[in-house]
Amino acid sequence: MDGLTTPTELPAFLQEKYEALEITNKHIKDLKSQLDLAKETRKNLLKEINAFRQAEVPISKLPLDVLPTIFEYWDEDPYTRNRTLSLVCKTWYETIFSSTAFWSNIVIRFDWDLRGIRSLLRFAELCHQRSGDKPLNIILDLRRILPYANYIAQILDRSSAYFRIFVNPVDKQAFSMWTSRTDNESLQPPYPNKDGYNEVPQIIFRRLIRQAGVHTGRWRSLVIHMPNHLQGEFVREALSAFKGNFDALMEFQVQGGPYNNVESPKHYLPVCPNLRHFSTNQNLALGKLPCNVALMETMCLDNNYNSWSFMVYALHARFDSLHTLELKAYIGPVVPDGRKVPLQQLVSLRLSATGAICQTILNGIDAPKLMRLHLQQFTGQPFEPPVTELLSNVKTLLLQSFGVELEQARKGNAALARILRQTQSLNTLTIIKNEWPSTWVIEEIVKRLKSDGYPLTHLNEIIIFGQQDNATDRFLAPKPEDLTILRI
Amino acid sequence: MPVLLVTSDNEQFRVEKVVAQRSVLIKNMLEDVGESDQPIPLPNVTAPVLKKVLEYCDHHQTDPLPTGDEPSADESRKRTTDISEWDQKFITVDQEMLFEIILAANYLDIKPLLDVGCKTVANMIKGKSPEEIRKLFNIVNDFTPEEEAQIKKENEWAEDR
Repeated sequence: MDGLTTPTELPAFLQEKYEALEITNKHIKDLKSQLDLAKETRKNLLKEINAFRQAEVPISKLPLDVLPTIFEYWDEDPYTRNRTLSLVCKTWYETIFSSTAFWSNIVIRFDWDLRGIRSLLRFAELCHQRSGDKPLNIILDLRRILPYANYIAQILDRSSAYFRIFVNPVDKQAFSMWTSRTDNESLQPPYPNKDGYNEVPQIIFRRLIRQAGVHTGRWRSLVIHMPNHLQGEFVREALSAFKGNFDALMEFQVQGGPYNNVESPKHYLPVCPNLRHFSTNQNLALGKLPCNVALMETMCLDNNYNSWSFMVYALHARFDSLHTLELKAYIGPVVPDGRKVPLQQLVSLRLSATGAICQTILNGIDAPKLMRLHLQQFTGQPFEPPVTELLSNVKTLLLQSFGVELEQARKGNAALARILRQTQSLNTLTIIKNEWPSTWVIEEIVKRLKSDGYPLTHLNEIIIFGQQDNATDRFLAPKPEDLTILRI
Repeated sequence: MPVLLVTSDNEQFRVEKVVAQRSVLIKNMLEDVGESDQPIPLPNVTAPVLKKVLEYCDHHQTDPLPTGDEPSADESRKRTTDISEWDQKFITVDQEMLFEIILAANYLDIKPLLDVGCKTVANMIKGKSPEEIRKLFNIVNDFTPEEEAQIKKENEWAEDR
């Protein structure tokens, strides 16, 4: 108090203030004591409750290392999972927050209401912070971005009553239905100019990518789902904001509507030197794919243009590690006569094509290790087997969508027999039955081939799916009630 | 050759070796002791629970044993919570038995059974709010109001949606 006046020397009104201050301080001290006491009581109560729970509450008996296994099975939406489970109790909170595994899958789903984007950005930030040095799997799902999102965002901010002019959306579904009608001239929103098209989601998307892009070196997989109504340049422009490296990226998928043509991947995808798995249904120039094709293990090109691009490009590129390939082709140029795409490690091929093109592609592939073949036919024109020995090592054959009319069925029977003559190593034949063929017909064809001396000596199982719905899924995980199994 | 298992409540179960060996713990014990008719004590499992576990092992005795090449936790995003029809019927039990089965599967090291139990619990909590989960499992909310507010604040994404 050197150089200062003491309280007793102060004027009376200040003296009163000091006394009031002392009383208040004492009150705070008392309250703190009470709070400490309450905390202590609470602690003891919790201890007693927990002791009781150990004996009476079944879930509390679980060892702590089992809880993460349970939580991992709720993996469809890590955003909701982490939010919900961390708020249940302290043990669950600790389980969620102490494990980097729960923060390594970032699923960002753009919603119809873009105002929720802040929480998505925060979630991505938390994932990057809490995942330690684990590789990250990123899913950017843009499918729920609405057309004319600027316009919608403006209306939402201005007045929800505005909607009543057109319709009264009672829920998100009704709202989506209404907005899908904005393309209709009578409901054309006053914001159709092209320059501003989806400016708001574009800005947000760029921000997200800039923010997340700092960590791209840890991204192991990147999956982008585009909505049908967005143009390819939306994604291309947004992804141009990427500045980081993609050294760890092993899996890349871009899926979108049929009109999204992302033609030059080099413009939107930085170099991915370790890419192993690539999947898209978009048009793109495979020759410009910025990766080392010799490391590529699986490719799914669910697109006619890409499939033909692949057949031409792979003639001189070396896909030395490719073991799984999916192609879809219904029209296009023919592979140069006599030349074959060298796919020395290819084990599994899925080909969706019309009958004639199917044969052309099979003729153009040299894959001595091919063991699994899935042929999906677009039209009634039956498959024809290749004129090469491509099928000689096939052990598992799945045929889907044969002809449904009688004439087609007859051709299909003959085609099936021709295919089976080439598959002398076949173990399992699976047919997804549409209207044709009858189970006994297939059995007869196989028996006749065997009696004719064709060496189907390994064929011990024919699986026939009764229905076509979700047949491919059931092919992967058959259920007893779905199929007939004939032991030959 | 049958194997004799003894539970914590001293009940004895004589089961085929192929069934008992679905448990990696028992399999290792049998390998350690070699050919012997000595009973195997299971001090962490009661008779009603072991009976249920053996029902599972018996039904799945011809399934391929896990190889250790199954997806790691890193690949958990690809996991499915689908449970086969038989397993679903088998695991339709009260909560106490459900968690006892999980405990036993964990102790006996029967991974497929542990997975069925964990999937079942995961399916029970999916789509529920924290409050609903607490109610379902009788879990006490042991956060102080300050702690709860703090968690919500640090995870502000949780409150935006």
